[in-house]
Amino acid sequence: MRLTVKLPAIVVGAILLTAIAGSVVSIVIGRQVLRQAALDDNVNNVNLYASAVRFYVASARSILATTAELPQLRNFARPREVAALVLAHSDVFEYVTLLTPDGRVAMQEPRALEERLSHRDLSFSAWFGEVRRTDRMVVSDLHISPTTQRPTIVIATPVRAADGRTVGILTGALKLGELSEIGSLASGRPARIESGYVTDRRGLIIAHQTRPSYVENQTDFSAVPSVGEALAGKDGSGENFNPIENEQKLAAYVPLPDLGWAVVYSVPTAIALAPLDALTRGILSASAALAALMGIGVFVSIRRTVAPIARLTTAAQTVATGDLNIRLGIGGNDEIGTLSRAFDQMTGRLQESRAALEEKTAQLVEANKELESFSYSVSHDLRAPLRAIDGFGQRLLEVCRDKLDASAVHYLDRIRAGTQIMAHLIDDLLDLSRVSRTKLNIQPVNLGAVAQRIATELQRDEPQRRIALSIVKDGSVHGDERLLEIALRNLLGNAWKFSAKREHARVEFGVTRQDGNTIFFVRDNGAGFDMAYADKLFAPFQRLHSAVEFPGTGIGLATVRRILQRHGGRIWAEAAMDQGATFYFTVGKGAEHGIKTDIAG
Amino acid sequence: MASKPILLVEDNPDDEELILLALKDHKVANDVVVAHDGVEALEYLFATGRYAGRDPAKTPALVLLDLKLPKLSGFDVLKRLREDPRTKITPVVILTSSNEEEDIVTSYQLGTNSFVRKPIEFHEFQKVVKEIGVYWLLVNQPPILES
Repeated sequence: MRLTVKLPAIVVGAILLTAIAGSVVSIVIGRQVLRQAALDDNVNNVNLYASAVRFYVASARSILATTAELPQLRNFARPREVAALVLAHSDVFEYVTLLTPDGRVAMQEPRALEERLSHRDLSFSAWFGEVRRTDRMVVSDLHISPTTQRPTIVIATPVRAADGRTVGILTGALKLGELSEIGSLASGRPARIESGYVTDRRGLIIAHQTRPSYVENQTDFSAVPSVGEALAGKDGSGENFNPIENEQKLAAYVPLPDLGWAVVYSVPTAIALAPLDALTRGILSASAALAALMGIGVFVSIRRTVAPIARLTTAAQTVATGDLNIRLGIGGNDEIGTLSRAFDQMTGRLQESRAALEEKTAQLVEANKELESFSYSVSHDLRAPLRAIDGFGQRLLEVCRDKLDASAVHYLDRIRAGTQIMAHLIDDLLDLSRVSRTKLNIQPVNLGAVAQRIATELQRDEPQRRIALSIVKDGSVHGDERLLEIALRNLLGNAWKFSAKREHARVEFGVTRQDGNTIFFVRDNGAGFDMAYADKLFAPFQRLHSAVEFPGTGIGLATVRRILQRHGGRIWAEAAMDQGATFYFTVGKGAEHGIKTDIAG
Repeated sequence: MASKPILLVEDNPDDEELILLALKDHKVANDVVVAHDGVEALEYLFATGRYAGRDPAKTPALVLLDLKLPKLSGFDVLKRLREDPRTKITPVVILTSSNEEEDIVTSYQLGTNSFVRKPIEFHEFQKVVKEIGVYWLLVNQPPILES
């Protein structure tokens, strides 16, 4: 992956991770805070609501108790007037009823309602039985009013005569609607989301701030955990599931022990935590925006940092193709600046040394060209006069033989012999220069086979000679076969020539190994030479024998040495006067191949 | 056929005389035209300059061509000769002092029929010239292209 992509990816990734972690922590904390705030709110509200309910019921009880003691009521003189006064001056009762001790309705105010009474005998009511039994004021459970046919709660109290005898029962039906309203008044604001409600001791809804229908339907909230807790006499707050409304709620609850009622204030968790969604959205979008901004910033700055590296890379590739003219010129004191300067310095030096090298090469090429044209001229122009000397000399002999005496013929023969020697010298010199100039064509070469081929030719040229010949079968090397053949032809030709005077001449081409190097050798038992002159052997025109003894130009071994040098090999000799000579050579370390040392007789 | 001449392109007067001697010794019947440089050789072959008026359709039976020549080299002559439809198939033998591998390869690439190095020893020289003459003028069968 490219650095310009990788680095920003890493940094942006790190930023994103940080942003996500931060967001998660913020959201978790925010949720905690919101939840606690909602619960605290509910606790405050439920306490206020409970106080209001308690006060409301207490007021109702007090009014009813006071009314029951009024003489006009106690003696049943003008009960309706008293009831009308109570209803007119307090706002707690929907209607007031006076019952006889046996449970029959003596009077109900307002009269309009009394006329709608379904039955006048209320002795079967639970609350009536309780009042009769305890002879004390009783607050009823929720039940259907025989007057309004709607759920209601009545407070009932005995009416006593002056002598303490119970002469009737006075009841007031609570205005449950008011009871629902006072909670909202208590909290000081209209409660639409969070809402309080009251249940009787069985868990039926008596008052509900936001859902009056629950009262109408006598909805049973006893299964709601908050209600259950409060009915068991405990107060508290927490999150729980409301199975009636099928909703998760944050709720606070208190019991009203003297009434056996429960007061609850609750809010759906989803609504209480709704601000969290906005918070989450805010945090996430802020994080995303931040990450994007920082990502762009980092990308730009990294690109700016990495761009010189890209230039360096391109430059290095350019240099790799051989173009040294490139210069970066990137400033700065950072690592890249240092690297760039080092790079520029390097290309500068390389360019200088290459220029020097090119100059040297050009000189060498020039020198080589001169040498080539020199050799070419030698080949063409030195030979032509020799042909003329020999040709016309021969012509002279043929045409003017009868005019020439014996010594003249002899001198002409000497002249012609000289031209032959000169011709050989020129050819040998040409060979020497050619082995230096010609391009090496390196291939696997079997020197044993080459030597065998040369030996066969030598034997064919001098069939009268009997020579014990030993040639190694395989001597594989890597080299230029044509040049190596010239070298071997010289060495074997020498062995042939210098062993000519031996009755039992021996010539051997063999191979030996020394220090891991493969060393070939050509050995004869011929004239040999004095080792004192061994260093002169391989210089051109150096001869250790007279031309009368052994003919030759003195260039052959120089040519051999040049050929082996060109292959990275070398040549040396061991000999003694009249005891033969051995020429050792290597063809170059890298050019060696496998060697088999079978000796052929 | 015997009336067709041999074109000898040779700048060295010694070599020229020796070759002519050798040809005469071996009783070669053909006339020998000698050109002393490459330009003269082309003038003869294409009947221009000194040889304007000659019938260029009468191509030589054999061209003996030296490589090292004044003005135009033997290679240049050979190249021009092979480019021209009239001399495209005229037998050419390079007869030179050189035995450089490069010269040999170039000559054959340019379309010579043969490459012979001039020996120094006169008897050998005679022998070589004789063999060239015998082979190219007697043994070899050229196509009959009379215009």
